[in-house]
Amino acid sequence: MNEDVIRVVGLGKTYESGSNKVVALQDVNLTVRRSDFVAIMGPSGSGKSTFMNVIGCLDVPTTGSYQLDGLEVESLNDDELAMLRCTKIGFVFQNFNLIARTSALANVEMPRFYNFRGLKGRVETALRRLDEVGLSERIHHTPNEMSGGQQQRVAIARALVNDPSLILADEPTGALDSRTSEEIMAIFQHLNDEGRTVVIVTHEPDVAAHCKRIVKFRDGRVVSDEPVANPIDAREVLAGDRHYK
Amino acid sequence: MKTNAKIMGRMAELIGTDGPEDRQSLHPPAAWDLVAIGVSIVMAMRGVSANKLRALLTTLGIIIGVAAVIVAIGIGEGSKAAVAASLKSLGTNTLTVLPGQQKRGAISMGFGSKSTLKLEDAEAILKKCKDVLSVSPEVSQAAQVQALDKNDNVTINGVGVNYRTINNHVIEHGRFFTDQENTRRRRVVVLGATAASDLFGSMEPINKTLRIAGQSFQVIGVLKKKGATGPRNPDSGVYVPLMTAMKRLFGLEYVQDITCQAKSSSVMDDAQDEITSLLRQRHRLKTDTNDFILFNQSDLMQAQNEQQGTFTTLITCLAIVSLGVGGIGIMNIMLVSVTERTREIGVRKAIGARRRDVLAQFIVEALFLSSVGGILGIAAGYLGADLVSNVNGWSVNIATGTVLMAFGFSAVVGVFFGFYPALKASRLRPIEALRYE
Repeated sequence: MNEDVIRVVGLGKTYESGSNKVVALQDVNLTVRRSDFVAIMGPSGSGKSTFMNVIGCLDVPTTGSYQLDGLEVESLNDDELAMLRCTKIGFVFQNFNLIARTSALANVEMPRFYNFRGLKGRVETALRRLDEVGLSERIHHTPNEMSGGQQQRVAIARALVNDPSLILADEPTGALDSRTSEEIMAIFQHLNDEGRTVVIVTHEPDVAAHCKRIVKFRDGRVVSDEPVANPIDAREVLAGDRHYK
Repeated sequence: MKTNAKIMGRMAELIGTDGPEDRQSLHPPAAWDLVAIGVSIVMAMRGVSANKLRALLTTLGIIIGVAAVIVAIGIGEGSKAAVAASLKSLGTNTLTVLPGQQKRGAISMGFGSKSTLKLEDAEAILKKCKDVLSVSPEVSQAAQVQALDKNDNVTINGVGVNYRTINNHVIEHGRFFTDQENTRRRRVVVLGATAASDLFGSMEPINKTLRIAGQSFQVIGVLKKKGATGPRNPDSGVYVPLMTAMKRLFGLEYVQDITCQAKSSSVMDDAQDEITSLLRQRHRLKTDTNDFILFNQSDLMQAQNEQQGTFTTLITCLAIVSLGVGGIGIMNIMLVSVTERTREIGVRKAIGARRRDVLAQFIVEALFLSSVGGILGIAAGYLGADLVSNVNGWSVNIATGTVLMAFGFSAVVGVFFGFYPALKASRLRPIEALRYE
């Protein structure tokens, strides 16, 4: 086990469209230790999404180096990157990105099919993860039969099914109302309490206030990197918010 | 820039206190290649059942295309074969001599209206034309026929004894009349299959008596059903010996036509020339105009065959159009769902599917839909062909080649349009696929 889940040194990313050069990231250095809970913030165009794509191994940096769980990502080929995403990263997207007209169970089970170590026991694990996010009653429901909050919980269960080192969430509450957002944040906090490393990209300060650490991006650079003094406990908020019920 | 990145990478590796985790741990064992195919099949089947309407419409396009081609080409081939069969049964080496047209001023009375052919002409043709194998002079006229409770006006054919062999008629019951019966003007009659059932119903007609123009005739034979080959249907014919017809029934001195059989189909032209010059000589013709007409039946069939060819081409064009329409249908369905598919591919790649996993899934899906559609299309094609031949009475010939061609084409269309958008999507980076609009 490597203590640093993410180690980024001198990272840069330049997009070229025709003669136009857009610098999305430059000289980013960042380390995320195991069991950390980081919010990445910044206005649109600040480079936070590009950064998330790079650390999610969905995009390759132009310069610099990135180690995920001790593994040098830059040298890997496409198949190795796919296996890396499969086993080490659990993605949660803003618009859930579940497979349409497919049951919650089949959606959660799916990443195990691509993991050569995970084919055995995939149904049991998927059922356990669905139970953990409180959806054991709805395993046969398809995405269009579920609310946004429920869909996002299915997506979180899917992200957990291969037991990844890193949970990477891109605006996970962006499509949800505040009460549901609080429920989703409670799940992330619970996962973090269990020792999982969580990185959330968000532009909402309320969401970021639930995390242990906030990294702010502006113009492709890290402009601040500070711990949160008193993170909001979503479970307390939900328990105290009687009028929601 | 690139080398700079490399150096930075190496530096980072040196800075790291922990060595990089084993890259080999990302490599699946060799046996996984096989398992991954199984996974792709599972994913493809789940994809099909999650998109039942799309699957149905895709297979429907293929079903229609395959079935249309099978039926259309089957009809074309069937009628071609029917024409060839009737050409064969008619005898490809027969020539018919008809008397010329009678003219009164500018008014033509039509072919065969002159009385210029004599029985002796037929005998001379058989004797002197070396390429003629046999002849059958014929007369025909309508007469009243009575049998049991039936009393019909029927065309009576007075034919030579060679009529049956020249026209490839087969005896079903009894026998055909003999030369002796002809020369002795015996009152015997041979019936076509339809004529026999019209006159006697289900009763056995052999040795029954029927009356033709008041004279009683004995039925000695029934011909096997042959089917219509020209304007005259031989199955409804009533055949009596030529001499009986000429002398006893109609009182004729002239014959109405002479059917000549050439020794083979390759000497048809020679036989035609021989008959023409013989008849001109016998009739003492001085002008270029003949007082008879030589009618080559294989020429007629040739023309009919060419017409048939046009029909087959037309119907094949229709089949190709329906295949094309089916193909475009498939293409439309696939292109409409391309956004959803692209996003799905993005999701699958993001959560760890390799490019080949995604491709295998969509190939399996396209192959599955195409082959299911193709098989159902073949079944529908056979059913449709059966329906056409039962309802319209057309003969339909389905060649294995046609089936394979239709199936192959549809499979290619189905796989191409099912798989090509997926191939394109699989080339996108996962983030691009996820954001695809």
